[in-house]
Amino acid sequence: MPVDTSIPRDDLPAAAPVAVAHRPATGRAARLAVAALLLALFALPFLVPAHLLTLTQRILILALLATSTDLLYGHTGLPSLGQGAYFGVGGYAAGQLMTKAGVDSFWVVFPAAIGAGAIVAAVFGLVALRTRGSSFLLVTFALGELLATAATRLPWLQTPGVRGLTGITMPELFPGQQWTLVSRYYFVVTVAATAYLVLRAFTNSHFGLVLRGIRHGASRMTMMGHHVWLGRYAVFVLAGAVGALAGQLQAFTSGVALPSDLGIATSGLALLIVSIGGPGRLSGNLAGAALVLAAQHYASALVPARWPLLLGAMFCAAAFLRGGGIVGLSQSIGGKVVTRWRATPQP
Amino acid sequence: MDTVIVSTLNGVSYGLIVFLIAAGLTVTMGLMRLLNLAHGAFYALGSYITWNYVTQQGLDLWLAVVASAFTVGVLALLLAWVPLSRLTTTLDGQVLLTLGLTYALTNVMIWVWTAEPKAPLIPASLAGQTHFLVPYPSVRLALIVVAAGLAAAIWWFERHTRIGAKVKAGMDDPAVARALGIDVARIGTIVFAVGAWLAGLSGGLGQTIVGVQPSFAIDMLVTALIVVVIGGPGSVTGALVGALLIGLVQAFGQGLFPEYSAFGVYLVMITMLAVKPEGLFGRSATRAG
Repeated sequence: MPVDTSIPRDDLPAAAPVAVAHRPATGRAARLAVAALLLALFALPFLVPAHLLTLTQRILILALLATSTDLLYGHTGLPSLGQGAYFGVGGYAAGQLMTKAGVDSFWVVFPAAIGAGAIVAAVFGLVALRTRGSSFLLVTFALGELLATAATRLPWLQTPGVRGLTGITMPELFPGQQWTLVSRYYFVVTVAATAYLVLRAFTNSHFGLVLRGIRHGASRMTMMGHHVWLGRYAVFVLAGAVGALAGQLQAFTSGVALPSDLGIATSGLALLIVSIGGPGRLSGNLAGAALVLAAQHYASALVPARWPLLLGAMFCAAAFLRGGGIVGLSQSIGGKVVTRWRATPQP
Repeated sequence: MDTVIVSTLNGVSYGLIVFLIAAGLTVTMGLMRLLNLAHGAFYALGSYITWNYVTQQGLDLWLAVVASAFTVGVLALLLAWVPLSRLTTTLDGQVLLTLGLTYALTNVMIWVWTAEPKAPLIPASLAGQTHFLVPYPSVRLALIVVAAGLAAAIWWFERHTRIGAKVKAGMDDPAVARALGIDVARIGTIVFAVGAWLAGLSGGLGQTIVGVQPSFAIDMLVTALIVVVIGGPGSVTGALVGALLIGLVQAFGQGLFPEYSAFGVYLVMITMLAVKPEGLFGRSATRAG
């Protein structure tokens, strides 16, 4: 039996090897696809009813949360089951500022909430990065539950008489601004698209490549002179900031921050989205979020009480969807079609 | 002084229940490299089936506890045979499958038994109090005796039987264990089913203290996972020490700082990771990579 010496015995590989080679999405086709998607998102309010705008909004927000998970998991090989923690911190930080401190300006709330997520991640990262593999997953899971417990137990994190924080509104871009359904949608699209473009540049940067190197062979990266721990720590903090960004968008648009935002319900959903979409790809995060949330939207309208059962079944199905998720699957099918087309002699 | 004794007894009884859950979890993690996030659902299922046997079928409580444990064990055996054996190779597959099972099972539990919390069921003979140093609920004393007996049996089994030795050999080096003729996969399946049986049993026993509600599937899972992290994955002794530690911290925390007692277990885990990230009795190899 061949023995793979590259993986320590007590560490499982975080994910099955991906069949399709990772190529940075910088080609002309990728850029065209991004532009077309942005155009479609901006045209959407003229095409579809309001409830689908809300759904699209939520897809974009959870795609960002999925990216936060994927920065650790797909890119760096750190399986986190606790990104809900930062999602919740973002929502709670924004909510506390707006409802308790009375700050309404976007230009204050927005950076403050992202900073809160980064600070919590900077603390939790010191603890979680003491472990690897399945222990890392357990510790991130437990830290998320710690914050969820705090949100349920500590009265100063709650609106009196409610188990969460309510009465959060959209922040003002300029004093006296009024939000409409459509302007709110455009706000979310703009923030999400900006974050997406920044993260795309980041994952294709030198540091993004170092992270992939850490995922594939940490000891080799150490040998080549990279500081592996610092790389992991930096991406942990960044992922916390991205999670908080998504969380505050969620709080702005839904008006509430809940203990369940911090815990396993949110973290597990993020991991599901990443796995269904295909780890290590920003496009996969978006596709996964669209699929899972569309399923939730329609299934919970049809059978509200049985939605968790369906969600559970989706998790189990995703477990068998090895490697590349739907994006990987479509790429490998597309690749085969192109190869066959090229192989056919042209008249 | 009396409150110290009561808190200690509370801590020990709760800790022993948590140990029965964590024991299966830690051994499957060590032996099969399988992270089973459905383990908390096994616990909750054990509680609910016990409740069902007693209130619907009119079974005696102790009989119901044992019967429900076997029901859960058989369910786990089916699970280990069909999907789990194909998914022991990657962490994400295990997490998705077992977390999905937790959601699905929790929803089925709500479907069958409603989301209303169920009150503890206690056998009539143990409803009162017994004077053991201080007046203390008889059922909790009985629980300590039963759970301590089981814990001792597990500990002895792991150290002094052939199967225990095979389990440890499989954990230390699966390739060499296989070469020596030990069927690691089959032992893994047995350990998984026994672990689930124990989780179901602790569900039946634990409901005599806290009753049962659907959220226990996650709550108990988190507590057991923290115990595994504290004790070191794969170590039964570690799980026992960790569980008793967690139980005592919980019980004394409730007495001293009732508002912040829920954070005690997390504090223990964080301290442990800061001092000794591989856990109390963990193998240092888990740090590699």
